[in-house]
Amino acid sequence: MSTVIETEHLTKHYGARRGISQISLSVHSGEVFGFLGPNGAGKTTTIRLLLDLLRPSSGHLRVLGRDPRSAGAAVRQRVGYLPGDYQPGRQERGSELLRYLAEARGGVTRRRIEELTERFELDPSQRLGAMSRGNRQKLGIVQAFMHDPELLILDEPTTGLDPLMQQNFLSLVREVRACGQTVFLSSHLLAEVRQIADRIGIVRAGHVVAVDEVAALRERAVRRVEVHFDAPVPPEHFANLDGVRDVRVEGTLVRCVLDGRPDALIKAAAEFTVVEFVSFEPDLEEIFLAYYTDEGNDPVPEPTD
Amino acid sequence: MRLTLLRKALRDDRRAILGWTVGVAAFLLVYLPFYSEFAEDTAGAEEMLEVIPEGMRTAMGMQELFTGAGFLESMVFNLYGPLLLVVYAVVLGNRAIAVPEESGRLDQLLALPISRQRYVHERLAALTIEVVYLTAVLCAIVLAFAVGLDMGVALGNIVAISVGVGLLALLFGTLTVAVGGLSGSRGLGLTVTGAVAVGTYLVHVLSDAGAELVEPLRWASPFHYYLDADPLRDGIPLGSYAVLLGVIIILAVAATVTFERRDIGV
Repeated sequence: MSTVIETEHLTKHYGARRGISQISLSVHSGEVFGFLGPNGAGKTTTIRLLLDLLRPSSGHLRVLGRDPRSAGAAVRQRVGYLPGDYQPGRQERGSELLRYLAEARGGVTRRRIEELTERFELDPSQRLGAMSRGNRQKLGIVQAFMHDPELLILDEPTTGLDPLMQQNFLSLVREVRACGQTVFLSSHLLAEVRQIADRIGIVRAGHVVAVDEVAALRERAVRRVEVHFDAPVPPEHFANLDGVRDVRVEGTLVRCVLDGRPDALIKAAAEFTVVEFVSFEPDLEEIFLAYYTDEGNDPVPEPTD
Repeated sequence: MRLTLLRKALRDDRRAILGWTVGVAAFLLVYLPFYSEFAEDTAGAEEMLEVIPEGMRTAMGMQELFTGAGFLESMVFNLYGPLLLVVYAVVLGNRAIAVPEESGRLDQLLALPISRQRYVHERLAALTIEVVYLTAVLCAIVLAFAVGLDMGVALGNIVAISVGVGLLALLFGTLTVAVGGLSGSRGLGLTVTGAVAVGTYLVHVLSDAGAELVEPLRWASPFHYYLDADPLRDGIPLGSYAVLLGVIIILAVAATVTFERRDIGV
C-alpha cells in the first residue's frame, strides 16, 4: 500500500493565532481519509500546504511521492482540489469557468462534466454571482472530480449542500474510492466523516490529537444514552456494568455514559420492558476529551474559536 | 504552449477593455476637433492659454495650441493620454494577482497544473496585449485627426510618441502586478502605483518649471524618458525607451520572484 500524502512534523505559523504544529500524517493509496476538527483547528492550513498555496515553516511533506513546492505543477496535474469557502468568481458563467478549468487541466471530457452536473442537478449556465451558495459548492465539487484525479483534496466539501445532495456527494466519494482514487476530506462534522471515511485524523488547535480507523474511533467514542422503561427499575441493577459510567437512575429513566460498546447496557436493560432507547451522537468535544484522558493529558480542553 | 490563462484573462477583461475603448475614443473625439478653431484663430488660442497661470500650464502640460505638435502635446500626450492609459493599465494590472487573491478566487486558479511563474507570465502577457491594444486605438484616432485636420505633424512621430505612452502605461501596470505579487493587496497595489505615478509626474513637471530641489531627481521619473527627448518632433528616442523597457522587465522579474516565494491568501 503506497502512501499518497505524507507529512512529517509539518509546522506552519502565520498570523497571530493561526497555524499548525508538528502534524505528521500518512494517507494511503485508495483510502478515504477524514480530517476532522472544529473550525479554526488548522484543517484548511494543512490542506493549503498540500496544494503549495502556503509554504511550511518547518517539517516535510510529500504529495503523490513528490514535494509540492519543487514539483508543483506536475503534482497538481494529478490532484483535484475543492477549496474551503469556495469562491469561484462572479462575472463568469459556471460553464465558462468549467471550460477554462478543463482546458487548463487537459483530458477532461465534456461527457464527464455533463454527467457530474446532472448528478448534482446543477445548471452551469448561470452566472457565478447569481448562484446560490449550494450551487457554487456543487460547481466546486464538479471541477474537483471532473478530471478523475488520483487524489482528491476536499476542504469541507458538503458545506451548503442540502441533505439529499450530501448523500449524492458521499456516494460519489464511494464510487471514486472503488475506482482506486484516494480522498482526503476535511470536516467539522463527525456524523459526516464516519459515514464515509476509512480512517480519521482528529485535529485540534493546530495539533493532530488522534489518527484511527473509524470503527476504532466509534468504539472509543463516549456516548450519552437514555433508556426509558415502562416501570421503575432497581438502580443497583445498572451499577458496575462493563463500559458504562455516570449512571443515574430516576424512576423509569436510566441515564448513563457509554465508553465504547453498548453491549452490557443493552443486556441489562433487556430484562425490563424498554419503552424508548435514545443514544446521543457523540460530539467532537467528547471524543477529544476521551483521547486526552487516554493520553493522560489535561482533560479539560481549552475553549476553541 | 496553449496559453489558456492568457486567453482567459483577455476574455475576463473584455468588458473593461470595451469600456475603456469607448472612453478614450470619446475623449479624443470631443477634444481633437478643437484644433481647427485654434489653428484658424492663433491669437485667440494664445489669449486663452495666457489666462491660465504659467505654473498650472506647465503642470497640465499645456503649450502652444495653434501648431499641430503643440496642440497634440497639450491635449493628448503630456497629461490626458498618459493619465487614461496608466489608470487603465493599473486597473487591469491589479486584476492579475491582487483582485483574485483578495476575493479568494486565486486558490482555484493556482491549484491548476501551472506554475506560479507561468501564471505571472501569462497575466503579464495579457496585460501587455491589452495596453498595446488601447495604445493602438489612441494612436489610430490621433493619426486620423492629424491627417484630417492637416496638423502638419509627421505621422511616424505620432506613432513614436504613442509607443512612449504605451511603455509608460505598461510600466505602471507592471508595477501594480509587482505590488500584487509581493503583497496580494489590491488596495496597496492602487496606493503604491498611484503615489509613484503622481510623485514622478510632479518631479517631471516641477523640474520642467525649474524647481532646483527636484531637478536632481529628474532622471528617476519615467515621464522624463517618455517626454524629454521630444518624440513628437524627433521620432523614437531609442535610449529613453530602452530605459522604460528595462524598468518594465525588472518589475516583471520582481513580480515573478516575489509571487513565487510567498504564501497565498494570508
